[in-house]
Amino acid sequence: MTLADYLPIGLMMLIGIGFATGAMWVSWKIAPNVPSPEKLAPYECGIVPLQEPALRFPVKFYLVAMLFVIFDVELIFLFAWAVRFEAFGWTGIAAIGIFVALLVETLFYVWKRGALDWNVAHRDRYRRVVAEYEDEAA
Amino acid sequence: MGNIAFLPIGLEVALLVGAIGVLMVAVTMGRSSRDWAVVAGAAIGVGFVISVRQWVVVGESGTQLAFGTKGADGLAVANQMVAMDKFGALGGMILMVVVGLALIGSWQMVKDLGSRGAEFVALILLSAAGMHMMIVSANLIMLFIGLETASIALYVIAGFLRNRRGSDESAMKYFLMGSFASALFIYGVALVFAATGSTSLYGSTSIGQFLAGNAMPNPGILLIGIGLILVGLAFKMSAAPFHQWAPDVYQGAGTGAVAFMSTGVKVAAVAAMVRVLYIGFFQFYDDWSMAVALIAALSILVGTATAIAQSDLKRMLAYSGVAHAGFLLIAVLAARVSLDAMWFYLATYAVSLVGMLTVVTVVAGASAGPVSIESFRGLGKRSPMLAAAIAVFMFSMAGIPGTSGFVAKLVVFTAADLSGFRWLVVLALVASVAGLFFYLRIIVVAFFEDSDTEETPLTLTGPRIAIGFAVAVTVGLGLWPTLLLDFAREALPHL
Amino acid sequence: MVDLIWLVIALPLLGAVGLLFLGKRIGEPNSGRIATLLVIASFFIALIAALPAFGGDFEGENIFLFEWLPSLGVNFSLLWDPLSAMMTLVVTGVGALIHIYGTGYMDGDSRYPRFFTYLNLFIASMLILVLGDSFATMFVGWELVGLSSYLLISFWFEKPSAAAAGKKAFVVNRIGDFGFLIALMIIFATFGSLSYDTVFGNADKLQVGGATVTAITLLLLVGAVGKSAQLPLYVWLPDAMEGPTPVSALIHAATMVTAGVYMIARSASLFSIAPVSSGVVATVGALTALFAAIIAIGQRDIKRVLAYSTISQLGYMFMAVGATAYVAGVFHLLTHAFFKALLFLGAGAVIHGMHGEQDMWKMGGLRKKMPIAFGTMVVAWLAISGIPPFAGFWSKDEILAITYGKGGAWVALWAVGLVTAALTAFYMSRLMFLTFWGEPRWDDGIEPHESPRSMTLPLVVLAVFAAGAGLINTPFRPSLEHFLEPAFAFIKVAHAPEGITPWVLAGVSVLVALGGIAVAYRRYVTRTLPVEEGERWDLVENGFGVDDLYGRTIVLPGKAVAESAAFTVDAKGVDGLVNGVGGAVKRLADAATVLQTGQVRSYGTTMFLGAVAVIAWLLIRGGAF
Repeated sequence: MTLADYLPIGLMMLIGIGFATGAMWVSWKIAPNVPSPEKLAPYECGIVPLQEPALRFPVKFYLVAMLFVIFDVELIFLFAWAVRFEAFGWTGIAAIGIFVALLVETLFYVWKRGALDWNVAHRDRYRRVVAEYEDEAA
Repeated sequence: MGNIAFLPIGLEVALLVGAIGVLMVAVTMGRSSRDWAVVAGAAIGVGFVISVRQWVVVGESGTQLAFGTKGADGLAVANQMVAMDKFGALGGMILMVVVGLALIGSWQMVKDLGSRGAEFVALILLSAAGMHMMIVSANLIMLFIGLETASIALYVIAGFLRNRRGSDESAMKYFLMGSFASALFIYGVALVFAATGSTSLYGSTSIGQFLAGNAMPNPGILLIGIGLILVGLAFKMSAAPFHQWAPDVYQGAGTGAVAFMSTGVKVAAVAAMVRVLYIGFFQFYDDWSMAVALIAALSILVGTATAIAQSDLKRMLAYSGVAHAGFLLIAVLAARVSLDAMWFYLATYAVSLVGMLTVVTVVAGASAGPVSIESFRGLGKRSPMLAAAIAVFMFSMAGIPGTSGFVAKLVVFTAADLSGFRWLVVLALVASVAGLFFYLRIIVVAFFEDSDTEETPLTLTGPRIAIGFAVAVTVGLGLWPTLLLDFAREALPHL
Repeated sequence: MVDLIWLVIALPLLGAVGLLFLGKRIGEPNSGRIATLLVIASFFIALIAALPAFGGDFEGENIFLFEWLPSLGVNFSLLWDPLSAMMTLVVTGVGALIHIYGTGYMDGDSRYPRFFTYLNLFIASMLILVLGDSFATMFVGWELVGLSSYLLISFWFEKPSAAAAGKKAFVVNRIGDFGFLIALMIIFATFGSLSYDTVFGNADKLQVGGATVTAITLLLLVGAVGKSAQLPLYVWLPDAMEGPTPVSALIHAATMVTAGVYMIARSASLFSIAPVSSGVVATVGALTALFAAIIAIGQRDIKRVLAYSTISQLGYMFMAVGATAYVAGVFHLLTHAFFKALLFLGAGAVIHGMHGEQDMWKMGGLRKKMPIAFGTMVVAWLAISGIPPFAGFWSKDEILAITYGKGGAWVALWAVGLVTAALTAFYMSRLMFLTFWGEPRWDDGIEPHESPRSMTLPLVVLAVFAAGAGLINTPFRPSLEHFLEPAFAFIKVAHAPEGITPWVLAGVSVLVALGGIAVAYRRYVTRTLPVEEGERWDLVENGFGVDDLYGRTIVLPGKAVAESAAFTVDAKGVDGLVNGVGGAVKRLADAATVLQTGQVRSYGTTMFLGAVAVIAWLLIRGGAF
């Protein structure tokens, strides 16, 4: 593999960067720009805040966000397989099948544990059921 | 691709399926910890059977490599990822016994955890799978994946008792230090690749082949790589000076979790180190053996000296574990002459330690963090059987004749002496004598000091079985070491 | 069947391990039954395996089990020869009977399953001792029987006296074991191996009466003296009677205490070329026999009489093996196992029927109340007193005849033996008369009764053997001698003198025994009971104050030394050492603790520096610089 073989990748990167910057440049260029002091203030009426107020974020947001990332990464692996799936053959299908099955299993577990339930009270139900079950067993 | 062989990775598959099974069972039908125990036990049992099967198959048709890629001619398979040999098979058997014992011993903690117990069990199974992968991997990248699989699960296990601050702290420390070590390890692999163009331990494209075919006038890059790989593995077995996480983590994590954390990873790291150093870098034996010897000497000194000053039992065991890491590194050096010494030491130390920590879970509670030595006061009166078990384990770790620990030290030191490390053996002998102090102190506290309480620790059937088994192995192998030694003599890696 | 001989050990061992874990679950009475059945099975396996030996010449055979300590030339293998076969049959046979007896005797005890755990452990240990084919194996068995004996003596450890007795037995035995261990070391240093084959096969290369063999045999004797309760280490055995009676019968009469005799007989090749040691063995035996017999006269506790009697009878056996009459010694071991086990079990039945009363002065007139115990004990009484044709007569007279026949100083030993025989007849008759004859002297509220079937059955079986076992080795038909011949094939074994002498000697000893019985009869039956109190009786009852003597001369100074060791030497010296050597270590530890800050960044730094050091070392060594 010579350096020339990497040319398409380089081109692809260039096009990507170019498209992003180009779009931004175009929107900046063609938008009408008539500034006035009122427009530049954060609020057109009211007091200018001295600092950004702290936002209350529900912690469950992070949980869902993390789960999203995990499943989103799945797609990257699927992509790598999909572009060459003929070359990998049935072995590849089996391998990616196991991979997807593992992720589905994870999703199922997360779902059953109630991690996707926005309602926290609801999520606690599972824990209660287990506790009762353990009490009976004991 | 092609040639999908199940048997070489059968143990990993069994444990993975078991881990998933535990989780699925936990959220669907069986919400009792008893159901999880059945699934986990089955997975471990199947894993053990597969290891035995591997042993038999290797005995019949020789070692084999699996999961390679076809060469340019489309025929020759190279760059295999997994080796199936008696080395890995025996490692699998020992790991399965250790993980089984540790789970039985810590089952009280699983129960205490309630619904999160299933995750604990699943993580331990996954971690064990990673550890075995470290032992069988035929490629440094594969080794790294195994190492990370084992480690990441362990980080979570260390922090499992979320409601205690020490647990969080220990998990965080373990994670940060572990990431650092992993980074060093993978950097070492990268440098080895840079120097030799390979990460494979076997086959036509292996590191060894490259080194055999190319004189290296300036092996600096390669040596740095070897050094970093060494450091990464030494961290996992908590050898000095890469050991400082161990006491904090052991003390902070639940006692039930420590049993597995402290033993399994040592088994895996030592076995992996032997395979990598001897198979991959044998041409540089003179260089790395000295480095290993120095780390061993430092570990023995630091571990022994610091253990004396401890008042917390788990910290004491952690530092004694540092000293034992030193002895295990001597076993790595001795592996040049005989591998059975290394296996014997690994197996007996792991079993004794798991047994000891199971006793600790019984006496101080499975979910306890710090465990003062004082809590063993008067145990000889309160529970003679437990105290006797402690005596057996401590005798074994100290290397008193009649226990497996004695034989282990004997065979390792003899082999190391033959490999030309007499100074190290002398040092280790002196340290062993000094080590008597803190092992015997536990026994003295348990038998000769009166306790304020009359409370008898409650022994459940599970821990009792685990302790009984560990005692039987410790004493049995002490009296009939050949049972394991003969077996271990055959446990050679694929060459 | 011989290949399966390991099963004989494995079955009781299995029982011990199984009952240890499952005993509570199995409970009473099934745990006792299982233990008993296992020992019975062992007995029958041993019996079948021994059958070929009864037929004729049987050389013995080694059964290899597994490699044990190859570096010491020791494998775990068993030796099945006439001597070990006979011992195995005695241990498992008597052991089985006592197990049966124990199921009745221990009925209702809170640790019933644990009792049988220990009992099975003892049987397995004793068989390891007997069947091993090397000194190493024997030593393992030796220590294991010591352990089980300790566990069983202090079985009722709630009683302080029982706990103390167990400790005493353990400590005194350690003294003996120490000698044994040193002997093993010398043997290994001399022969380069511990296996019987090598040691005995090369024994003839040693100088007869040389220093090496004398040292070895004398040290072996120290071990034997401890285990077989001979002078001066006998003091633990009377106290060991604190254990349950079946234990006293099995361990402290029939089997374990004879281990010393077995050991000397097994090492006959060594002892036969060490005349000095043999003389010492015989002298120790004779003195012990006499001394213990005198003490036995003064005892009030029925079990302590039997304990001293056991010591005395073991003295006879030592006398025999010391006189190189190994067959006679083993023969007396065999008959003694039967009649002494019977006496103990009978005494146990009496104690059981008397609600735990052990003082003979509070018994009397029990003939009618316990006919079976009485009848069977009469057989044993006549056997131990040496009345023909009961078992004891044949074996004891063979010993006496051989001793006399050796001439010279041995005649003095014979005289001691003869006096002992008279004393034996006297104290045993005293025991019988006080217990079974005369007026009842029971405490209020005691209603003596016969024991359950499980206890009387072993009595009857043992009585049959105590009566008839002597017939296997009479001057007319020396079957045992013939049977054991291969075991002592290459050794000069002393034989009884020829001609009329043995008959005269036998006549004399029978007369002496009858005399002893007659004196006792006049003293305890025909006249009013004498008052046996006062200084002299106290002296005898207390065993001439030997325990006190040991207490004052050895134990107290020992304690003082230990205390000074603990509080002076240890506190100043050893702690000084720890503070000195340890001080350095401690400083090192403190230094290490300084590094152990608990902060991740310092850990990371240490690790980084460590990695740098490793790499630097590799690079310097590898010549990259």
